[in-house]
Amino acid sequence: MRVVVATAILGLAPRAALACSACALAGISDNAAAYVSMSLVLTALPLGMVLGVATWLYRNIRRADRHATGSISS
Amino acid sequence: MRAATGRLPGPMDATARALPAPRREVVPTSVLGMLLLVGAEVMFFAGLISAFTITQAGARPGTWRLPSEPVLPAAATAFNTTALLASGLLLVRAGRQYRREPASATNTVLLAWVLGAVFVVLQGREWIGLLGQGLTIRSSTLGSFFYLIVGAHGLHAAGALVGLGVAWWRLRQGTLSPGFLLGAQTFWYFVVGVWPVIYGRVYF
Amino acid sequence: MSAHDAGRDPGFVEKYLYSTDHKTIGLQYMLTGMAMALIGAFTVYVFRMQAAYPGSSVPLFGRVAAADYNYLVTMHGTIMIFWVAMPVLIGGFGNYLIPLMLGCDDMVFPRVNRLSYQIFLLSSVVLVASFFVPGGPFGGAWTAYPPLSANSAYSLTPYGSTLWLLAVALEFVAFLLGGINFITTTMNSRAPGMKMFDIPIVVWMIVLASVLFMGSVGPLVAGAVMLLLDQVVGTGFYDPSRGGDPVLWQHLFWFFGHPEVYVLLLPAMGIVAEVMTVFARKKLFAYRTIVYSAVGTGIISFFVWAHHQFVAGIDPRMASLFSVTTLIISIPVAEMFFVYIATLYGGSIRLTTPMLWALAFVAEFLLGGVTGIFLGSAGSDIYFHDTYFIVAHFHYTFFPIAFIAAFAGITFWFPKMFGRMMDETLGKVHFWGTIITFNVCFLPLFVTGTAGDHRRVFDYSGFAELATPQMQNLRILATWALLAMLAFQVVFLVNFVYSLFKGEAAEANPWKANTLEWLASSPPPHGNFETMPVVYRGPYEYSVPSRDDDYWPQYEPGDTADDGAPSGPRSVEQGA
Repeated sequence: MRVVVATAILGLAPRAALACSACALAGISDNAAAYVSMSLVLTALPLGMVLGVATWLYRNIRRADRHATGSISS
Repeated sequence: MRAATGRLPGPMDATARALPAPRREVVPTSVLGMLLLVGAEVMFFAGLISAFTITQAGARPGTWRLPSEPVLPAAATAFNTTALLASGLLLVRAGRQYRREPASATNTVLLAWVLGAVFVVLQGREWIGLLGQGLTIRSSTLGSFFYLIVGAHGLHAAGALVGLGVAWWRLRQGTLSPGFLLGAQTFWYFVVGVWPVIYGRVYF
Repeated sequence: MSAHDAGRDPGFVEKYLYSTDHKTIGLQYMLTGMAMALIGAFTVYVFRMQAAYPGSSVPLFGRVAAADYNYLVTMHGTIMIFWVAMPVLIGGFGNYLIPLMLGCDDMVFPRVNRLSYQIFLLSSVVLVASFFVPGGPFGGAWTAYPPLSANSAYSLTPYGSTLWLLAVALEFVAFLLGGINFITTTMNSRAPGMKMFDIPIVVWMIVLASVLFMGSVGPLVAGAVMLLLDQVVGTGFYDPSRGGDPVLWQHLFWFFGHPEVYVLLLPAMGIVAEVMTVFARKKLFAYRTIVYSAVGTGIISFFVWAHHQFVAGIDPRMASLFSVTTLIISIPVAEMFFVYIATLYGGSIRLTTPMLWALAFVAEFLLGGVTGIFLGSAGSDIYFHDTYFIVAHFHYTFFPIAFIAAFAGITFWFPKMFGRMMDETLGKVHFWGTIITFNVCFLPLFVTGTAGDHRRVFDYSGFAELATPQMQNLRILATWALLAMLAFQVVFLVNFVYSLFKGEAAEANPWKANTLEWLASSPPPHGNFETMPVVYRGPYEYSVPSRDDDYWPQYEPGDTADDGAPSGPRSVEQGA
C-alpha cells in the first residue's frame, strides 16, 4: 500500500523524484519534453520504415512463392 | 529449374556463365538495395534533426542564436525548395516515360537534373551570403547545426546529381539499365523528400 | 549481376586479396577479426595485470601509467565489439554462409561486397595506426562520452580520439554495405523452392541483425559527425558552456548501442541453432517461434536504450518506462532459449566440439541474461552502475556471443571452409580450458562489483575499503584465470593451423547435415555448386521416422516432409 501511494505521488508530481538536480535548477522542462518526443520519433521511424518495406516484400514474396511452386513441377 | 532439365555444368565450365544462378527477383534488386541505404540515411537525418530539436529546446537564452547573427533566409530558400520539389516531380514523370519508351525520357531527366543543380547552386550562394553576415559553423549552436544539417543534405544532393547525371548520359547513349535508373531515382526521391522536413525544422 | 569470369584462372591477388567471391570475402573478414582479437587479447592482458599487481612492470609492456590504462580499456572494448564480434559473426559467417545456404552462386552486389571488406580493412588499419600517434590511441572509453571525448584537454589523446571516430565511422559504412547485400540476397537469390520458412535460422538471424543495424546506426553516425566537428573544427555540439548538450551523445550512442547487442546476439543464436539440430539429430523445435521471437527481440530492442542512462539524470518517468521494456525484452530471448532446450530433449546428442560450444553458449549466456535483470531495474542499476558487476554481466553476454558461438561456428564449418576436419581432441582441450577459466575469471568480478569495485579505477590503493586483501585476491584470481584462458587459445590456433594443412580430408557433408552448403564440395569452388540446387523441404528434417537415414537434405528430391504427400511441388499454404 505504501508503495502504491508513493508511486502515485511521484507519478503525479514527478519533479519530486527528478534525479537531475541541474535540470531542475535550470528550469529547462522544454528540454525534457524534446527528449521524450524525439525518443518517440527515433524509435517509431525505423520500425515504421521496416514495417513498410517488410509489407511490400511480404506481398511480393507470396506472389513469387506461388510462382516458384509452379516452376519446380515443370 | 535447372535440376529438372538434368544439366550438369561444371563450375569452371565456360557455359556456366551463360546460365547464371536462377535468381527470382521478388522485388527489383537495385530498388531494394537502395531502399535499405535510404532507410539508414533517413535515420542519419533523423538523428541530426532530433539533436537539433533537443539542443534548441535546452539552450539557455542567448546561446542558441547570437543577436549579431542574421536570421536564416526562409523566404529565399522557399524558392530553392520549389525547384527541388519540381525536380522530384519531373523525375517521376521521367520514370513513366522510360517505362513506355526509354528514349523519350532523356529530356525530362535532363530537366530534373538541371533543377536539382539549381537547388545546390542556390544553396551554395546562400551559404556565402550567411558566412559574410557572420553566421559561421563556430559562431553559435544554430550556426553549427545549420551548416551541419544543410551541408550534409547538400552533399547527398550533389552525390545524387552525379548518379542522375550518369543515368542521363547512359540514357542518351542507350546503355542505361532499368535497375540503375530505378536506383538513382530512389535516391533522388530521398534527397527531395527529406528536404522539406529539414527546411521546416531548421529555417523557422 | 554475378561477377564470374569462369574458364580463366585468377591470379593470387585476384583470388585471395581482391576477390568478389563471397567465400573469400567471408574468410577475409573472419581472419581479420581473429587477428584483431589478438590485439584485443593483448590489451586485456596488460590492464588485468595492472589490476592484479598495480604499479609493477608488466612483461612485454612495462609499467602501466594511468593514461595507458585508459586507452587499453578503451581499445579492448572497441576492438572486441567492433573489430572482432562484428566481422567474425556478421562479416565472416554472413558472407560465407548466406549464398551457400540459399543455394546461389554469390551475393547480388559482389563488387559492393568487396568494397565493404576493403573499407573494413581500412578501418582496421586506421584503428591500429592510432596506437602509434603522439598521445596514443583514444582513451575515453569505448562509449566515448563527451566532454571527455570531445576535448583532448580531458582525454589527453588529441589524435587518437579523431582516428578512433574515423575508424568507427568507416567500420559502420562497411557493415552498412554488407547488410544491404545480405538482405537483398536473401530476398532475391534463394534457390527455387526455398520459401521464407525454409531459410536456415542462421540466415534469418543475420538478416534480422542487419535490419536492426541499419535501423539504428544512422543516429550514431550523426552523433559521431557532430563529435568529430567538436574535436576538429571546434564546434560546441556537446559543450554545455556554448549551448551544447553532452547527454545528447549518450542518447545517440545508446540508440545504436543497445540494438547493437542484439545485432551480435542474433547471429550467435543462429549459429547455435544450426549446430544443435545437427548434433541432436532432431528437428528444430518450433522454427517459426524462433523467427517470431527474433523479430520481437529486434522490435523491443529499439525501446530499451535509455537503461544505460539511469544515472545520467533522465526523467524518472522515462526511467521506469525503460526498466519495464528492458525486463520485457528478456521474454522473447528466454523463449528462444526454451526452444533450444526443447530441441535437445529426446535427441540423440553427439558431444562433438561444435556441440559442446553450442551447449556452453546456452549455459553461459543464461547467466549473462539473468544478471541483466538486476541492471535493467533502475533502482538496483543505480547501485551497480559502472561497477565490475556490470563488467561481469556483459562479459557473460558478449563472451558467449563473440567467442563461444564463434568457436561453435568455426569448428562446425571448418570442414566446409577448408576441406579438412579439425582435431577433436585438441578441440575439446581448448573447449574445457576456455570454459572453465572463463567462469573462474568472471564469477569473482560479480563479487568485487557488488562490493563496490568501480570499473574505471586503475589502482585501488587510494580506496581503503576496496584495497583489502580479500578483494585484491579476487582480482588476482580473475587475472590468473584470464592468463590461463589466453594460454588455452594457443591450443585453438595450433589446431586451426595444423588442421588447415594436415587435418583429415573432409567429405562434402561430414556432419550429415541438411542445409544447402553441405551439397557443395569442401571447400566449395568459385560459383559454389556444380548444379544449382532446388529446395524440397525445410532445413531441419532430422530423424524422420519413415526414412532409413536420420537426415533429409533440403536439396534431395522426394516426398515432402511435413505431410508425406507424394513427390512433387509443395502446396503453397505450407510455406506461406
